[in-house]
Amino acid sequence: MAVLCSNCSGRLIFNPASQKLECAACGSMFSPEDVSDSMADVHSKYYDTRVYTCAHCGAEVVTSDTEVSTFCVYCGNPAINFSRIAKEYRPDGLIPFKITKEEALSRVKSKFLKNPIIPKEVKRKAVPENIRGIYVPYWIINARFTEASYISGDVEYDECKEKWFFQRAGNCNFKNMPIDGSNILNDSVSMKLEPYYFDAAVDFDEDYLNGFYSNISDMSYSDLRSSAAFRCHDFFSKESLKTVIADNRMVEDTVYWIDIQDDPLYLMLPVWFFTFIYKGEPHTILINGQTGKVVGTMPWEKKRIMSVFWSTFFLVLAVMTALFFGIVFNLGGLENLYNLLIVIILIVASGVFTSGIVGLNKIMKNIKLTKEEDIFRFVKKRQA
Amino acid sequence: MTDMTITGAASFNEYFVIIIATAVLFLFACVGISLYITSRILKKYTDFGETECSIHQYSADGVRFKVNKDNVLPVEKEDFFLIYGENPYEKIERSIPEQLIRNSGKKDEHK
Ligand SMILES: [Zn+2]
Ligand SMILES: [Zn+2]
Repeated sequence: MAVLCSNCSGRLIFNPASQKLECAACGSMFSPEDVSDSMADVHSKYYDTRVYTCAHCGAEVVTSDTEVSTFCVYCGNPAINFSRIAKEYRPDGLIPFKITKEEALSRVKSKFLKNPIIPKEVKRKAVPENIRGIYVPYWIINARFTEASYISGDVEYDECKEKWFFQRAGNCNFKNMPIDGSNILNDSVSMKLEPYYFDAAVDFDEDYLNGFYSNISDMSYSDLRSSAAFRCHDFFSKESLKTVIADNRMVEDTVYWIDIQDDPLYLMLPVWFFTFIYKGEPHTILINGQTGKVVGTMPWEKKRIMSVFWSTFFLVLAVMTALFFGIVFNLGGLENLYNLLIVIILIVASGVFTSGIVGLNKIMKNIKLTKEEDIFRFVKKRQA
Repeated sequence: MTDMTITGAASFNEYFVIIIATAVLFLFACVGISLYITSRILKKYTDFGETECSIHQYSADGVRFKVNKDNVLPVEKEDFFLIYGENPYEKIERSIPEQLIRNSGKKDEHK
């Protein structure tokens, strides 16, 4: 299973920076294609995997490493146990990790950690030990797709609004569309990790997996069909709504069909998982291992939003006071200027006040804690 | 206090009202402006710019529309879906990767 260094029998780990297998003990470097694992048979349909199961959430993770993570990358729980050695079908290929762990960490930092509303405690958790590289299984499909949708919308007609109905039907060919092949990762999250560039894909070689985890695709063909059809439908609806000129456009009813071409490709795509626990809740941020795109939301603190508000408030108060007294005393004329000033302040303040309240409300609704249920669909319901 | 009462109750009240009103307006304006600035700051920090791919990432020529009718009558809906309600790919047999076949088998076992 795990290949060893031919110079010193040390453990070999794939390094995304050099794209080579490196020996942790003597520093020798090998190309993944050159290393031959006496145990593995490249002509076999199968390869051996060590499956670990999380007793807490039921997630399964595969690794060739003997040294195993101390926590579950999905739920953050330490209850991870070796479950079995399994023969799995060899994927058709993989995209090797391009982004190193350090780069992934600095991407997370530059995206989130200068943010004033994110708790300091979270910032302290952005350390290499909390980041794990996982090869996530994907199916790359080519498909034909047909859809008919019945759309409604309000149209201005003779100066009054009328509800109109629209018919849109057509077809579309999709090429190299990735479909997330594991049931645990929520499709709406994994889609945000895209794009992946498939020209960097290589033939599957388990040597690339050294130092990383992987998942096995656990979906059935009908799961794949419905995921793929749903994704195509999403694209189609957006396009057909674009062709309708009306207000409050809505797809009222729709019917769609998909034909997935022969033998979709089974590929492993690289994702870094940054897992941490904050206030007893697990959180995960995902980083595309090829492009470095960061996906996920951070927990935030009301306390810190309040402090942003209060610091701007005192700043505004100071500036306004200075302005106010400056105007009043420099121009002297208290009587007429006063009235004018009061009117101006009133107009500006009420305008700004409402837009401030509206904006704040919108944001408060939009930002929510990364609930793990949103990112993952756990096999087991989490116990309290 | 005493000085003001001497100058006259009317002017005292007048001044008092003006000062209170100005102070209230002033605070109102300050709160308003700070709320606005806070919302702008938060907007900047909560917009993570997570975008999904557009259709053109996976489809070279996009959707080809065959029916593109505006202002149809509600009664036409049924006919429309009658035409498109049939799977055009129904009879096509596809070869399926073994991994997917095995997973389907596993699911059936559980049932
Ligand atoms: Zn060595
Ligand atoms: Zn777990």
